[in-house]
Amino acid sequence: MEGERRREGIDGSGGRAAEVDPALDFFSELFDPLCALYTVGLQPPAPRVQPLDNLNKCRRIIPEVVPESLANVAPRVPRSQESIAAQQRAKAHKSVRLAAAAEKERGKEKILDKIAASCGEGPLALLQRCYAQRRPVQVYTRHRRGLRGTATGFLKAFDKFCNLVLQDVEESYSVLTEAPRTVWVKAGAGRGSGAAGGGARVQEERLFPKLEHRKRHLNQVFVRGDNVVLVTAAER
Amino acid sequence: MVKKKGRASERSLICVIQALVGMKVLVELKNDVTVKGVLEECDLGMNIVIKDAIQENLQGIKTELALMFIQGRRIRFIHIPKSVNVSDAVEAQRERIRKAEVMYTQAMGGPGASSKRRESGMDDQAGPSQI
Repeated sequence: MEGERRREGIDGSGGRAAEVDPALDFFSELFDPLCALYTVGLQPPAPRVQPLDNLNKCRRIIPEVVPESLANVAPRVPRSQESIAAQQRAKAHKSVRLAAAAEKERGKEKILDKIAASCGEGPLALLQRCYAQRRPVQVYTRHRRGLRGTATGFLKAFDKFCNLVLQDVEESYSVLTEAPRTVWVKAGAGRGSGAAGGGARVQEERLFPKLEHRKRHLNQVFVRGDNVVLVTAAER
Repeated sequence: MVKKKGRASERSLICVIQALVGMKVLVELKNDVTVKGVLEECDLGMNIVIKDAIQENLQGIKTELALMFIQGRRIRFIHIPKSVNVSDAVEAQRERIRKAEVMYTQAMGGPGASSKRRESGMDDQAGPSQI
């Protein structure tokens, strides 16, 4: 890299030094910016000046003889009436287009509505009415042994199999769990050590089936149709 | 004139389950076992595949399973996340399928294929051999 040679008199005092490398002289034609950037300690003539963002902003200050100067730019031609009219038409067309798209969206047949409509006749018409009128329904569910419980919610979707999508559901149901209970059991009756004599009774903890009643609130559920026993319009 | 039947999934609420593919759901089975995980796949019989499943039984014992297949007939409930709008999800899924169909027929040289090819500058190439 050229030059550790410094340019003296940067702040104006003492004038320019005799041996300034033209590549590092900011005012010379042979100024090499890359070289200058690599030179340690080299300061531009006015270091406190705000640098410009891009070359285009430089156009204002370069002399008019330089082809890139602003003076050589053709003045902006005012827009013709046709151009303005064409733009207005295009804007109007866009809003028309948006309105048409919104209308189409509203008119498009939603698949859930279509499925519901396919069950419009017959007993499932009750479901269809509750779906259309957004009435709450009460659904009785089953498990293997019998009635499981009831779920009350709004019908978001249904089909011919009674698969349902319910919203805002209050469910009250029963669950068969195992609960430990202590019982008196004959010792040596096949279990445990036969240390005690036959006929003595000991306590033992055993798991017994227990029917537990639970309540819960669900935001959205999909109910498979074969769990549904009964659907009725509910009063909430 | 044969009436055009729609897609079988769109004749029942299977389309709702298929719209939930990719989301985290909680499946409650008929034996009161709950499976929480990402819904990977659903077929017409509601048979589902759950990824990264956490299975919890009535006693509260949890089991982690990377991939789980659940037979449709064993499902009681599928809990849908609160943030999901079911009708919007179903319509979005239909739109995705429609767009995929359009792109496929175009690639295969169906109607609209030549204009699409001209647009994207693929002039000398035949349809099927590309795929």
